Amino acid sequence: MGAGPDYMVLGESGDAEISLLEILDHVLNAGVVIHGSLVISLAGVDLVYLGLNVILTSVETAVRNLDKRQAAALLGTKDSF
Amino acid sequence: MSILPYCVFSPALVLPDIVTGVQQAPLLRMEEAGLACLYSESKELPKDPGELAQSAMAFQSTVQQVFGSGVVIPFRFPTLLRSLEDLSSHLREKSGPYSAALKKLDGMAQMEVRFTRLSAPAPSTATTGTEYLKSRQAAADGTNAAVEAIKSAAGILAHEWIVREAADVTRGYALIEHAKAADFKRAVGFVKLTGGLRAVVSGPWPPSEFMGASS
Repeated sequence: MGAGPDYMVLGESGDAEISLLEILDHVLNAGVVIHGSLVISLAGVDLVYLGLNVILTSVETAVRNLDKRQAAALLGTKDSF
Repeated sequence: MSILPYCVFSPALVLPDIVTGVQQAPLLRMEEAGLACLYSESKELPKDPGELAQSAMAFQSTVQQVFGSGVVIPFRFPTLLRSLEDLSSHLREKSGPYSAALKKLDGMAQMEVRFTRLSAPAPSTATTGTEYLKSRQAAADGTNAAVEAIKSAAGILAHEWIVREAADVTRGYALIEHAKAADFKRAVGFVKLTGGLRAVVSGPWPPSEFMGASS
């Protein structure tokens, strides 16, 4: 079907590097949301989601030292960073 | 122990050889109401930001690998269900819309274009509220023009567009044929953005924004 997702920057970025923040931004904003009592706690899920967004900046800092190849492998891409 | 669902797909889909998912948990498959679903049993999500980011990426990687074989409906990370019975119940309840979406979106993917402004207009730089609002309006006009430029460049490669605006970011989603992702990137790669705008084009992703009522 084709290769995995990759990233391309347009515009006056000055820095064509894609940050992990931007990758996580997609990951946390995609997909079907289940509403209702089946979910362990809708509020809980939303809070986790909000929490993830809140800590994204610190996530980026925290994972900056991760091996980028390992991160790319996790994401299923070779040239995403 | 809770259930972490990854994605829904057609039972006829031949999956790649994926063994583990988030936190190295074994990947398991359920079939219910004419749908297949990949899930793993999950302990608590990690609290450490780095580990949490790794979990999110492992989740995405798993979904993308399945998506490499055919269209999927991904769940948003982190969705946790109490039990397998609850997952079965959800699949039975959504069987109609999920099956319709899988049929409608067979062979399709979505590209995402995320527009951000390198320097957002700040209230402190405007001497009056009116000036601030005018600068915000100018910024919005610039973003809208960029969105239209990207749409125009993509042309008929995009079957459908959805644009969502938030406070500091505008996201455009294009529904394309999965096999034409490289063509899409080539087409929009010629667009020149100015005025401090930055756009990150990414994909191909599962077409979750185009699921219609099922999302």
